[in-house]
Amino acid sequence: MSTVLPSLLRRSLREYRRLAVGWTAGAVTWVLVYTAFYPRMRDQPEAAKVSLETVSRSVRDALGWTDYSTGTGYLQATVFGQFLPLIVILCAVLLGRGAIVVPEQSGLLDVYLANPIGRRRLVLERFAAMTAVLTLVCLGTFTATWVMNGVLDMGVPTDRIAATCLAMLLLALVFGALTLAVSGITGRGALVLTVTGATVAATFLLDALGQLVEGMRPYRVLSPFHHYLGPDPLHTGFHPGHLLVLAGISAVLVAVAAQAFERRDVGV
Amino acid sequence: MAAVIEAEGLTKRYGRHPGLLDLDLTVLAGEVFGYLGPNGAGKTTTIRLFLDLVRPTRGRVRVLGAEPRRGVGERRRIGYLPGDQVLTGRDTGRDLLRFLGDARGGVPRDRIEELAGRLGVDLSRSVRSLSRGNRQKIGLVQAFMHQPDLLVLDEPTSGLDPLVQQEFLAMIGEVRASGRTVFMSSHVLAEVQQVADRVGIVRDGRLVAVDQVAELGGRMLRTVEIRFTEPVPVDGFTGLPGVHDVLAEGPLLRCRVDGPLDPLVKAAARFTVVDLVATEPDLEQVFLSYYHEGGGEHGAA
Ligand SMILES: Nc1ncnc2c1ncn2[C@@H]1O[C@H](COP(=O)(O)OP(=O)(O)OP(=O)(O)O)[C@@H](O)[C@H]1O
Ligand SMILES: [Mg+2]
Repeated sequence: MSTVLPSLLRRSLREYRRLAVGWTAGAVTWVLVYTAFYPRMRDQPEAAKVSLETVSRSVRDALGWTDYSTGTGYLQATVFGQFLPLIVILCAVLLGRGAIVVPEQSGLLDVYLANPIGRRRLVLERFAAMTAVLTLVCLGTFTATWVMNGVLDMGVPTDRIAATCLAMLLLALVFGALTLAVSGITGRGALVLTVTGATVAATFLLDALGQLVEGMRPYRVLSPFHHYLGPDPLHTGFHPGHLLVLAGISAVLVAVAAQAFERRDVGV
Repeated sequence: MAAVIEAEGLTKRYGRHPGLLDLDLTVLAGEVFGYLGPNGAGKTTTIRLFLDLVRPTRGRVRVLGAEPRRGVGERRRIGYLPGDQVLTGRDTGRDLLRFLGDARGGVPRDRIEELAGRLGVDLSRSVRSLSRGNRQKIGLVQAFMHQPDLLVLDEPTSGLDPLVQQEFLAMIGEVRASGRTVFMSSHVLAEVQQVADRVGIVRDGRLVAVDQVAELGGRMLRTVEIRFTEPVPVDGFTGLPGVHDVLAEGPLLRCRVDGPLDPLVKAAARFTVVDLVATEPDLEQVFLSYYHEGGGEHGAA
């Protein structure tokens, strides 16, 4: 048996394996189903136009629905626009909950922590496991998109797809790390879900409103969603600055999680 | 002998609720210490303080020479059984135990299998599908498997059938024979008496008594109920050595006996006895008899 990985990380990967397979399959299915409709949109640009004109231009911009009939526009609208990232974020939040609060409430965390596993190490290994699972989900998304892009001749360069999937991964990790941070501060499961859920909704809205309302524009940078699709990676590729911002937020949140969890009572 | 657990003024409050108050206690190496108390007395709180799961409000404690908070490495040498049934999950007992073994630096597979065989639990089933008692056995296997220097067990026998309880007590005996230390909590004096060197009684967050088991046994109390063929005079029984709280209702006589039953039995033999029931003392009664002289606060029964 492999002893390369620390025991808790291995254990966490085991715990998460069903979740990993399920969510990856879900993401892949999502991509396959939506891209399958692309040829119809491409071949009937009129239909695409009509459906586009029913919404105002600024809303279209906000939602990223620009050129429905091109491969890039279609992927942006259907795959990477909002539903898939929100689903990957949900996966991250569930993983974050499973890391601390869920086993804390069942009491299983008592057994883990009675081992020579420090609290900070527990947080870090749980985050590493979360990263591994989300990477798998995003890799599945990338592969499915890449394959369909080739099969259906969507004409999106591979590096653009990769850049978008990487940004989606980092976006989800931000909220996974936020879940860990709140769990580090409080052991109350309901509070953890409320705070993270509210933050996801608020920052998503902030980004959307920032595109619609002129006065809100400067505040968009505060939203992780802005650093995800804001620079338009599907058209323009990698933007290291934005990716680093997302990674930096996660790093800070994980540090907060480790520090806070180190200090508090467990299972109280 | 070296102290394995040393607590000084150890206090834990949960908001306004007292969990444990001013615990002063030293447990020596090689000792089996029984920690007794009624529900909500503070046993689990004490144990979770030892494991650094909760932090003291006040006071200090050293376990295996280190403060629990700084003693992450020391936990390799501790075997902990949580009080509530906490082992869950889809994984099999075997997988869970191997993980815990690895986390402690490796435990021979044979040892896990041997312990599981001894307690009689199927390691190939998922932990959450096990019955309560069998889950408790998995908990015991993980506490014992790495042969820790200190075992901290929160109500280890809860849920176990009597045969397994005996096996467990034998395992404790072996641990003591090898010079290792045990701290175990319980509600039941009888089971602790069999294995413990010393017993502490905790109540409302305070350690109210610590004593050698032998001494406690000498004070053992029983409730005795005797049914006669006809009503008996109470005065025939009051004033007998060690007999208290005599109550006669027609042919039924109730009393509490501290120490040997002989004087009561001799006195009863003067009448025709239909039935005699002596119940083992519960902790509360031992506690009351213990403090019969000392405390007025437990006067009401
Ligand atoms: N998380 C908590 N929040 C508030 N009070 C608590 C908490 N945990 C324990 N307490 C209180 O601390 C006291 C001691 O509880 P503890 O669990 O240590 O008792 P115990 O001796 O283990 O009881 P039992 O025999 O029922 O297991 C109780 O009054 C309990 O209500
Ligand atoms: Mg308890």
